[in-house]
Amino acid sequence: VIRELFIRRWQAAGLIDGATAERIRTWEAAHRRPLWLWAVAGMGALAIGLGVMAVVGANWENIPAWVKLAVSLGLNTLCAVALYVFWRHRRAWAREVTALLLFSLVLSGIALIGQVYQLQSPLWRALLLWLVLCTPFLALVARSQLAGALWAVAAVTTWFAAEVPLHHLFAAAGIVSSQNRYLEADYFMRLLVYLPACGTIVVAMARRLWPHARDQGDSLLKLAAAGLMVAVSLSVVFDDQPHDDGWLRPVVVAAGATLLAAASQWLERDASARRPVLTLLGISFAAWLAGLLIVDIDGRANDVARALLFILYWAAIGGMAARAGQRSLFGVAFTMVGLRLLVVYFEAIGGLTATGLGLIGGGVLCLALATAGWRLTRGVSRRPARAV
Amino acid sequence: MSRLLPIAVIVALALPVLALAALIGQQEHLLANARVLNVPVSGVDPRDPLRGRYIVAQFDWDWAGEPTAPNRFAMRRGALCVLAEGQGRPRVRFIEGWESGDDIDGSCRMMIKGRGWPKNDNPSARFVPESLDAEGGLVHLFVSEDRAPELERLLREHPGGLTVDLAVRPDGLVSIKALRLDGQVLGR
Repeated sequence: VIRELFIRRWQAAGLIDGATAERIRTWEAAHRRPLWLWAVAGMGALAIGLGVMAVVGANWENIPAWVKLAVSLGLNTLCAVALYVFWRHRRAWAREVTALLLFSLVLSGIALIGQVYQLQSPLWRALLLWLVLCTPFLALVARSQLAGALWAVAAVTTWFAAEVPLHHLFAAAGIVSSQNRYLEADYFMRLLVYLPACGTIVVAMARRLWPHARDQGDSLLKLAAAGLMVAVSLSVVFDDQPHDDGWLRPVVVAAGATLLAAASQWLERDASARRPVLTLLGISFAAWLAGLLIVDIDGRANDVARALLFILYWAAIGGMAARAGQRSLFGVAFTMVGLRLLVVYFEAIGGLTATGLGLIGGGVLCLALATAGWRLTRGVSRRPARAV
Repeated sequence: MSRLLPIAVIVALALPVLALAALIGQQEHLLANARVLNVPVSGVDPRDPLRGRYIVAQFDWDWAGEPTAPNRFAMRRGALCVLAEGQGRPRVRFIEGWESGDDIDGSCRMMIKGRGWPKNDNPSARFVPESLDAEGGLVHLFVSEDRAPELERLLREHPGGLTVDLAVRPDGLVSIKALRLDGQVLGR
């Protein structure tokens, strides 16, 4: 419907003639990618998996434990066999849906065993086992962007679920202080959000090496870049009192992760495709480091420094997006700068009358920013780019 | 397509199924080679995102010798020497520092390796088997969603009504074999 709408619009504007419009329709019909079908099928597989998990969670007493375990094992086996058959016969749609179904059934199986045998292990262990068991088959047979995105979500969830043992690990290695609880350890929380983004960039680049999964690798890279921007923004925004002693080791670890992510870019042969990711990594690490170092500044100066750093970071991303011809990213960067300016505006005022005037002023500022953004976005030339 | 790829896919697909089967086999093996000790529990009822409703419980021991420590948060590693079992709470004595393979006192009918916390200003001393410690000496008992509210009420109004069969191995490690409500096994 949307495609037809555009064809008619271009035809009405005189950009294409009737014959060209017909050729476009014929080509689109031959090369159509029913994205909605993928989305619905993916949601269906996920819904079945979540449903099985909810049924497991209900823990029906009337069904003997051995029956529950046998059904779970049987479903997993059936799904694995079906997945192999679909993979052998190159049934892409069925293969991806079955892979997602098996992905969720394995987690249900782990949960069921934990429930039946009253195992006490924490959530992160179950999630880690799930990833260890499922990553090999997902890497070999699943090629859709949806499967890649769900794997990344699962991996990041496992990482954050393991924050307590990770804090123990980092403390034992002397990277962060062992004196504090993990929520009080500023440097640890900053590392916790920064490291998975760098790790996902490495995974995405490795995934792109497999020709069949190149699209999946590209979407993983975009997710990782978005995660990196969120991680750095959070590190810059949050203003906690420093509880850790010594910033050097956390910085060395973050620098190591950044360098590893940067080095993985050389798996890409096209130098022009490498540049945006390397630039993003560079400015992200610089902003992350600056956010960590200004923790020691007290009072109002700290607020100002954080606001300035946030604006500079997103302005740099905007500049990078403009050079790479990434209009949408440029728009996001501009919006982030605008929002932060608006917050600065509100932070600077107080009292009810002043707040009212502030709202009016903020509204005017928004309109001015929108106008400037519209003009600037139109000025960004659209160029094909791989990622970010 | 490489000749090795189908083999790799078969191995990758067999891995989760075989691992789940192995997990079940391991748990059955642990239960099969153990003696059973029935212990009353007390607790409350929250929810786990993966495994459903559970009771956060602590074991109710009849202490002949409690763990001792300077404050109630100090945990002591060691084992419980089970002096007597049968009706009601098992009579036990805490032996600090006991490890698998250490000598066993003749009065001990079985040993349970784990962690103990002193009574001090707590209502009672706590001990939880090492393999069952969900955190801080507490254990999570997964129960049916339908039965959970009833069990929570029962735990408040009828202490001792809910008990756990512990499968205790000769090396002092423990698994939960069954939950019992007034002596009747739940859900197995």
